[in-house]
Amino acid sequence: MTAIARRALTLLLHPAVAVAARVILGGVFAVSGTVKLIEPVENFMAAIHAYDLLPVWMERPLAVTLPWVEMGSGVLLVLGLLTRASVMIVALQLAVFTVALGSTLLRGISLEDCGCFGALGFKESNTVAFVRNLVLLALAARLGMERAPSWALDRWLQRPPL
Amino acid sequence: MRYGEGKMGRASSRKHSRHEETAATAAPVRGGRSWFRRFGLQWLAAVVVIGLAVGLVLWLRPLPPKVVIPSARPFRGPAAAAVVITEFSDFQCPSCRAVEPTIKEVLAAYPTQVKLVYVNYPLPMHQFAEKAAVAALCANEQGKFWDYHDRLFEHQTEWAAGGDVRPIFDGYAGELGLDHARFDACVADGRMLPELRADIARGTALKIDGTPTLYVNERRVAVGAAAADITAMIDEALRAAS
Repeated sequence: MTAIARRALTLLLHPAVAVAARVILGGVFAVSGTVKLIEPVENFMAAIHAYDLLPVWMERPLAVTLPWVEMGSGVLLVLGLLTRASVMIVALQLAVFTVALGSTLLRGISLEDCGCFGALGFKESNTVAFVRNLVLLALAARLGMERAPSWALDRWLQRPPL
Repeated sequence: MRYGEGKMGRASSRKHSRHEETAATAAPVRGGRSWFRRFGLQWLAAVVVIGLAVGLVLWLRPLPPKVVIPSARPFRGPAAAAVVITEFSDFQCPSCRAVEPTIKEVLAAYPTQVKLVYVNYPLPMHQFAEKAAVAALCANEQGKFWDYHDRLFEHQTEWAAGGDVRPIFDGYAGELGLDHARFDACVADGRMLPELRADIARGTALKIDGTPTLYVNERRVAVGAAAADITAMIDEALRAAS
C-alpha cells in the first residue's frame, strides 16, 4: 500500500505532470478569455447578472476587464512566462469563480450556462462547472509546488544571478 | 558564477541555486540593473506575448457595427424621441413574448422621451415566425402593426401549436378591422418579403445570436435585463443627449 502510494506520489511529482497541468489550466483560461473577448460584452454581462452577486453598475466594468485578465494569464501560463505570478493570478481567479459558483449552488440558483466559455457551444451547468473548477484548483495546487517549471520560457530567459 | 558562461553554467546554476542565493546576497547589490538582468527578459517577453495575444483578439473581434434603423420601421412612441429602443424580435419566440411586459413598463415610464422600433428577426427554428412577421407587416400596410403585433404575442401559444396558420392570421386581421382583400393579397403576393429580408439582414449584420435583442440607442441590452436595467441605460442616454 505504501509502495503504491509512494509510486503515485513520485508520478505526481514528475515534471511532466506539472507541464500538463500548466498547459491544461492555462489553455482553459486562454480559451475562455478569448471566446468572451470576441463576442459582444453584453453576453458576459448577462452571465454575471445571472449569479446575482454584484451590483448592476459593476457588471459592465467586470465584463469588460475580466476576459482580458483571463486570456493574458492563461497565455502566460501556457508558455511558462512569469510562471509563478501567472499561476497565482489564475489560481486567484479560479478560487473566486469557484466561490461564486458555490454560492449559486447554496442559494439554489440553477444556471443553465455558467457563462464560463461564452458562446463556444457547450453550456455547463453551475454544478458541472463547480466540480470542474475543483479539479482545476487541484492542478493549480500542483503548479504551486513547482519551484522551477520545466518546458517554460522562464527557464530560457531567466539569467543566473550575478 | 557569471552570466555568459554558456549552457553548462546555467544548467548547474539551477542545481546549486541555494548556494548562489547566499552568494548573491553577500555580493554588493547593484540595484535595478541586476534585477533587470535576472527578470527583465521575462518581463519583456511577457509584454511581447501579451501584445501579440491582444492583437490577435482585436483582429478576431468583429467591429461592433452601428445600429442603423431606417425610419420606415414600425415604431411606438413619439417620432422625434431622444432615445430609441430597437427590438429585434420573433413573434414565435417565447422569450420575446415574455419581454413584452418589461418593454411596456419601460415605455410607460418615458412617454415623451423614448420610442420603440420593431425589427423582425424570425429565427429559422420557428416554423411560423416568418409567416407571422409577413402578416404583421401586411397589417402595418394598413396602419395596424401594433394591434396585430399585440394580438400575435397574446395568442402565441394558439397559432404556434402547429397546423395551418393562414386562417388564424386571417381571423386576427378580420377582428382588427383590416381590409380583408388587401391583407390576403399582401400575404399572398409576397410584397413584404424584401422588407422582411432587409430586417433579417440588419440583425445578421449586428451578429444577433438570439431573440429578443434590444438596443438602447446603440448600446446592446444584456440578455434577461430587467426593466430597471433598461431604464438605467435610458437615463444614461438621456444625460448624454442633453
